[in-house]
Amino acid sequence: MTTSAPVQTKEGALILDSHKLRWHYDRVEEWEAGERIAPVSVDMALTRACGAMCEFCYAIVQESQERSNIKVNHVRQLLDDFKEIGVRGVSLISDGESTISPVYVPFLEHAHELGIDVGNATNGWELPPEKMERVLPLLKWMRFTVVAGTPKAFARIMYKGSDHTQVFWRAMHHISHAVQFKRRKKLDVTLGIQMVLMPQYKDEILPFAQLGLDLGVDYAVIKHCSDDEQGSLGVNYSKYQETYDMLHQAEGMSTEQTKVIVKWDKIRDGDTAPYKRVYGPPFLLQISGSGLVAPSGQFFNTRYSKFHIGNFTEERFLDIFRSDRYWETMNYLASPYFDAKTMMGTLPIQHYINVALDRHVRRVELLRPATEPPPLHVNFL
Amino acid sequence: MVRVRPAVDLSFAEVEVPHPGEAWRVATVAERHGLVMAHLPIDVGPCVRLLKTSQSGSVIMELTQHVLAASRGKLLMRIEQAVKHYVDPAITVWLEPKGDKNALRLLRGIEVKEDGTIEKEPLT
Repeated sequence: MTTSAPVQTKEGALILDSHKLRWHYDRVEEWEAGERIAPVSVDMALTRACGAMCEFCYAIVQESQERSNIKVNHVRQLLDDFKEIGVRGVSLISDGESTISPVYVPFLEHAHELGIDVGNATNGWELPPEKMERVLPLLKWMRFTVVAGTPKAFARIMYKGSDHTQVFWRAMHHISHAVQFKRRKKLDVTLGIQMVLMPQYKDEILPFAQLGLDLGVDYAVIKHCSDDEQGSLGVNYSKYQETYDMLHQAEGMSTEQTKVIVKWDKIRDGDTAPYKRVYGPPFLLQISGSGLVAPSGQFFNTRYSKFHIGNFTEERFLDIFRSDRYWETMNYLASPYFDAKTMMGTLPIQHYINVALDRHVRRVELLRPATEPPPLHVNFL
Repeated sequence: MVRVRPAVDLSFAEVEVPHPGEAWRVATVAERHGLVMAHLPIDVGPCVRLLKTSQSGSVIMELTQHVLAASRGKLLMRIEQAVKHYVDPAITVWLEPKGDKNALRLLRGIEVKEDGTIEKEPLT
């Protein structure tokens, strides 16, 4: 399952339904040799706040003990530490809407100065044209959460109710401006929209795909919805099968400009982790918008405090990374005391690499160094 | 530099997690609480309160004081190691979960119940 084919876009090969570990085989070898490796990628947020009210939002179940106020000096030091240890890409996704943080632009500017690739998933509501034009040149990709193709459904699922369609039109205005600006300036940034599919949203699949085409973004991707092990978000994974016909139809709408992509592997894996141990976090670390450093976003909640390693607003990330507690926590997830099937939620952000590394360790399917040219966004695992 | 002890031990990929032994499974709630409390490391006792234990081996606690992120993971790992060692290797320690503090999201009917579970009303 680990090798879904890349999607060929006008700008290069795009891998969204698999992983890119083969292009970072140096880290795989070091890890296998028992070394303390730096993450290839870090997924993080600059705040836990968000102006949206998405029904499917996993951040609902990610509250930890504290919400630290992340300041400019914190993120500058954090990025300096990333650079020093060899982090190659940072995605601003995680558990908050980073664009509303006052440190958002300074973060992007400093990462750009240091040569660290940055991508950003956002609702786009707080990216009016002037701000968009400032940040797009600093990014490798920007992906807008657009959960439905029709204004009323968008407003119902992502905001207060179906009458509040102003949020849809605001998002469309900003995304459309991003597409035009990218074309005008010939920017090296990939623009996409993403639908987080709950089975009950299936009537929105085709309008979403059409919206992607109409906007002229590079891709429109449809992914599953994660849930925690208690099922707090109420995702009914058995119902995804009922969406397959529409998902195939949506894929068939792809054009040369806009690819419609379905994350089939995650949708089909549903709520069943095919691995017992979790090996992905040393390669792809997650940091909360609260400043909390934990191996995976699925462990941000207070419940999982034994996996809380530190907070980069309280101490330097470098010290956290070099501490024994960092590696004791990573090692716990690889120990027989950790059961991925019952002790964490479904389909974490590290899912693809968890699967690939587990198959590699069990010698079911060995990872090999890549021989082909790197795909787009190679530093985002 | 290659360390004598690997950073991540890769030898347990196919090992099953342990299940609680009979002594734990047949114990009453009070007996399970007593077993856990009797084997907490002496210095961490004042920092935690035991809330729940289950037959399946999970032990739910809460911290009685704020502990920095840098210390709380280690603290709870120490507790778990002690209880695994002295009581049953299948015991796992967790804290009482916290609900979302996002004021906007709470407006749509997400309720954090007293037991820490999260309940959502269906959207209309």
